[in-house]
Amino acid sequence: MSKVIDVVWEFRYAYLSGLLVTLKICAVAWLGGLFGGVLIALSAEWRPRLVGWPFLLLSRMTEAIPILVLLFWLHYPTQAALGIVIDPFYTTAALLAVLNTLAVFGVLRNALRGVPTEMIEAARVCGVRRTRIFWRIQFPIAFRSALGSLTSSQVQILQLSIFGGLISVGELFRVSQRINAQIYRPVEVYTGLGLFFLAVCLPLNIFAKHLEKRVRA
Amino acid sequence: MTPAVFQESAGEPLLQAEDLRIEKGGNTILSDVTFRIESGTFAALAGPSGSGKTSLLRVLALLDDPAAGAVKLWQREFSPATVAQPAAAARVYPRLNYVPQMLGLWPHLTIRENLTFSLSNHSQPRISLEELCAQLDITRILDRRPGSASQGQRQRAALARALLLDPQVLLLDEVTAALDRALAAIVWTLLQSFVERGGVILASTHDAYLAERCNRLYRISEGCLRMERTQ
Repeated sequence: MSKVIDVVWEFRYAYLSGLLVTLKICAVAWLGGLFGGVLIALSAEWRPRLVGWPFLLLSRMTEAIPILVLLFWLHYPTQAALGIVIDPFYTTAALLAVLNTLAVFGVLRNALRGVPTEMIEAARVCGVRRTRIFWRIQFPIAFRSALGSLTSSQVQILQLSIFGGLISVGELFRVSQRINAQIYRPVEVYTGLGLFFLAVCLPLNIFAKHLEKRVRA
Repeated sequence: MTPAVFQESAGEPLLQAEDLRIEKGGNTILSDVTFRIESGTFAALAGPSGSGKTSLLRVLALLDDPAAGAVKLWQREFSPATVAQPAAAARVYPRLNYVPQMLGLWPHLTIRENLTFSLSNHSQPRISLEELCAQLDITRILDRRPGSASQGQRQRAALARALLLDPQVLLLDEVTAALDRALAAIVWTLLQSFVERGGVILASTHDAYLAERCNRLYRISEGCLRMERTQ
């Protein structure tokens, strides 16, 4: 373990710069995804055919294609066909933001549909208007029940950000590869990287499970 | 103020079912359901589990469509399609109120918020929140969320939510199922005072003792509804 710490400490500035890029990618994907996903889920409730179905179809299509294929497709052939060059950072961040948007949309859509009918009907028979029912009853109940899954999907975005390294984005995984190429100590380098993800993702996943349990109770 | 359309005269039915046929999964579970309930009537609805009590109450609450027949409230025909329109819904609810077996309490709100949430839309209740909660013995759980209350307390909270809105027609689905006999009798007495003010209650129950205390008893048997007793 001390060897791992030695390597991490020795290359701390490189690791920090990688972490900063990872966090920037995640910030774009998290904020964009949460904002876009909530917006689409809400729009889909009011206009299911116009908004809900097309995004559901897009969601199913992106679920079927591996993320690496999507990323490479956006980075190489698409840009070549369009005759443009986009910084791989933006390509990665945009793809993850889109995937996160679709994930948040899916989670919220299911949560909104999962609100027990009797709770909505109880509000209706109490004379509450439809819009108020949605904002004060359906959405808060759905959002609470979706919190666990939303947290899990944000953790997944952090993990998926390492794919950016494969198209030369200088995030944590790419930085680790470079360090390993320089000193060739893969055990220490990749153990350090694994421990970082373990330290961040494990508590978040436990938190997500806790939220899911609380809502179920 | 009660809209003119809802001002009933004595003896005129507030709730009517005309030749209702109710289907579930393509099977007819109730047919030829016809009755009229006048103001001041506390009617019990009895029948074995799965006989269609909940389905009938849901149709009468305009939440489900019948396969045939009509539901009339205040001598006007209504259907789920008509009350889907906000203006029609505002004319019907909460003058018609329904407490389902699952209660439908909102889990993210406290019991107090559950009771007062829909009050803002309507006129001052005839009975105060404090008085009603004291009668139903739920005062001490008002600031708890439904999840931390017992089933019996939740049932009384759901009933209080409906009563606070001062409905004219109240449909209750097994709302005393989790209460002991003494508490159920107190609830029944409270409901009797509600009908004495001119309301109508149709309550499904498995409890023969409570059913006996109603002034009318309907029983569902083999897909038919018949009036067994009236006073």
